[in-house]
Amino acid sequence: MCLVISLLFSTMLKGQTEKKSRQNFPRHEVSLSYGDVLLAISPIYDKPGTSFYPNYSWFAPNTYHGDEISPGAFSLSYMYALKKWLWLGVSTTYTSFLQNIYDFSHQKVATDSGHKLAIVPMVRFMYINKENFNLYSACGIGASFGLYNNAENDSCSLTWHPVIQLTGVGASVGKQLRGFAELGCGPRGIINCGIQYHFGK
Amino acid sequence: MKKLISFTISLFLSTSLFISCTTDVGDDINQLTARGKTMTDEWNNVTNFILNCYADIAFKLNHHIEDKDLDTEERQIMQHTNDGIWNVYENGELVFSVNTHGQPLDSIGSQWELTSYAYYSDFGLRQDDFTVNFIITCIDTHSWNIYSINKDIPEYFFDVNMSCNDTPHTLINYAFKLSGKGNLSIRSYENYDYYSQYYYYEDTRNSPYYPYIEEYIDLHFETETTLHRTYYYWSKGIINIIAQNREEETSSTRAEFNRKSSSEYITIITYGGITEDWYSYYYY
Repeated sequence: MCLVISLLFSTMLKGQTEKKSRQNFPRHEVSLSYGDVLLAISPIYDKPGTSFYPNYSWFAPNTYHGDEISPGAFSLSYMYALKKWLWLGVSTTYTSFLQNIYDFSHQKVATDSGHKLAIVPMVRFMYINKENFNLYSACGIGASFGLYNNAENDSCSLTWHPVIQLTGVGASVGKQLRGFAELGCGPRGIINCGIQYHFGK
Repeated sequence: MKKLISFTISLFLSTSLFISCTTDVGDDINQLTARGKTMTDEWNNVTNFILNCYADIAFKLNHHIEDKDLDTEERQIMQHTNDGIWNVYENGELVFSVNTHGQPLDSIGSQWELTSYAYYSDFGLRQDDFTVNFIITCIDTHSWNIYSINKDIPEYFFDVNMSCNDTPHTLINYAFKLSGKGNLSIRSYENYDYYSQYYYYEDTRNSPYYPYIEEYIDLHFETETTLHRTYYYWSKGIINIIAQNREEETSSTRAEFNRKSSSEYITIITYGGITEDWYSYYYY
């Protein structure tokens, strides 16, 4: 779906013929993207459930946990071009997790939730920086903060851990408004795609 | 441009609603009675330990007295003092004293009094004088009552009737029937398999494993129907078990034992209003 949207933008913006000077290129970039959570660490504490082995929680409520689901990772980032091949910036990624709790009659009694916010300063290396096409890699080290809301016990807990974002390869197409897709690992997801807006000279 | 950006953002958000993924698998809804199973297995371990560690010495002693046939490699030395009192030593330490009153254990009406001085697991039966006391009474042909109570904390007791096809030489891995009740104190999981004579293979793929219990728990049990045991595990009968912690919280389970074949056993656990079958396999 994300790749289709990216391609859609590239075809919409194709044909713009404005000529840019090599020294005069947009230096600011804001992007909004969506990625998977395959590598995400959920802040929801994986405690032994009713049917979990071992289970000596004889006095705990007679409830069981459903599957934990997540809608995905949403990222908002800003990059600045120091040079045409070197960009610096910061990426923020928000992820949420939900897990329903059921009683033994299979009625939902509560929902545990977890929220994570990763803030990662990034460095991007542009291999190809054409007017309509960019190819790049990026990396960054930052921190991820998690909030776990235990609805069953009515308690909250905060966690954090360091994170590394590695973008093995990323490509963007378009003019000022571009579509892009990235392949890497980190809080932004293994596959991450969205839109970029370049502005400023 | 603004419309385009707004459209794009709303498209992303709406897309995410349809692309939720499972990040962790939840509990197995087909094994919600795991707590009842661990409670039943804990009762089984405790009962086996009491029978194999304490009551068993009486039957071994009876066999020794009757047949004078004691394995020279027996690690416990039995010594007659006087007037029907026997002492049992292990590694030079006095571990048991048994008053037989001069009667064989399988004589109807005979009553043996057993006192344990060793620091075996006692499950609340150890009195302030550091002894654990049992009274074993022959109530019928090849049937005995095995009784123990902590006189200083009388809420802890063990009171069961046991019957066999003959007079056993040992209770370890012996087939018998059992009925009765008790209330015991448990705290930590230990290797309750006291002095097994036979090797056995237990298929634990369908069984939970047991961690360290970090709180004191009272385990009350009462048989609903007579329990039958073959070699190592229960093959028939129903028992009700109630666990209670120091915060007065309780949890209960009902276990029904069945044997499908020579190696396949089923424990039907009822816990939290749910009934499930748990399979175990034993090979000898």
